[in-house]
Amino acid sequence: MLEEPIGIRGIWVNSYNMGRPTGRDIQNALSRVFGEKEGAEFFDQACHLASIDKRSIHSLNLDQLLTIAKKLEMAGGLAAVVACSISVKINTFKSIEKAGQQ
Amino acid sequence: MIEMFSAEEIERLKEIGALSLTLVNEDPEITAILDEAKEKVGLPVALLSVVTDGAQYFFEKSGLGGWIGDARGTPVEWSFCQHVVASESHIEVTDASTDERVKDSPLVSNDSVLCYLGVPLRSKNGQILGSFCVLGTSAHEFKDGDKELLEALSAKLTGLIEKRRED
Repeated sequence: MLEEPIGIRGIWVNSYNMGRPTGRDIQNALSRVFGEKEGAEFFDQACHLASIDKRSIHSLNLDQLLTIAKKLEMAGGLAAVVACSISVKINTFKSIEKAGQQ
Repeated sequence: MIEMFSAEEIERLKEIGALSLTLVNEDPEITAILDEAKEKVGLPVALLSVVTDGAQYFFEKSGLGGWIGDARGTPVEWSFCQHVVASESHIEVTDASTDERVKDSPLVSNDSVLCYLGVPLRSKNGQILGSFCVLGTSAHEFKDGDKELLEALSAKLTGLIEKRRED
């Protein structure tokens, strides 16, 4: 169910219309569900539990983002649903990028 | 300013959380139902796809390999299943390359998903949680009774997933 990759990593990922997930994406996803104030609180708490400096939001790598998602998942309920979406998007991006490199 | 989802959508997402549908399925009865759907309809893939705020998550999958299987889902905007949730009804796609709803999805252009039949997966409270669907990589005409089969199996799935409800 997967065509042969075009071979140039950037083009291949772009063909899926997908940008690299960011910390801001997580913040925005939480805001859409909880509102900006409560969403920010969830994000800060998840960063704290993941021992990640929330001020480094613009430079987080994909594994750090997945760690934040894991901490959100532990909160359960709606936070876990948002965490699932984030994890799927990150894993999708990683999978496409990996396939493009092969 | 980020706009929040509607109250109705939040309630639907809460239901997904209450049923723990974003965790991996461990119920062999659910797996067996997917296998049955795939075999009876005659397509290679069956999915129980939960449509969340930003993704479709494959709570259970049968016959799905490659990177999509590894990722266990896709962004929601790529999905056929979002249309099942939005329309609150079944979606039948016999040739995705010419279907306005999905022809621009990377799943069609890059991954060759060409046929799809999905029915709503409902909770006992009536929330539509996602789609129970079968799909394949060739254009396909569905038989009389395929939709009814999936609807009957989806009702069985509702009974099974309700056992997961957090009180």
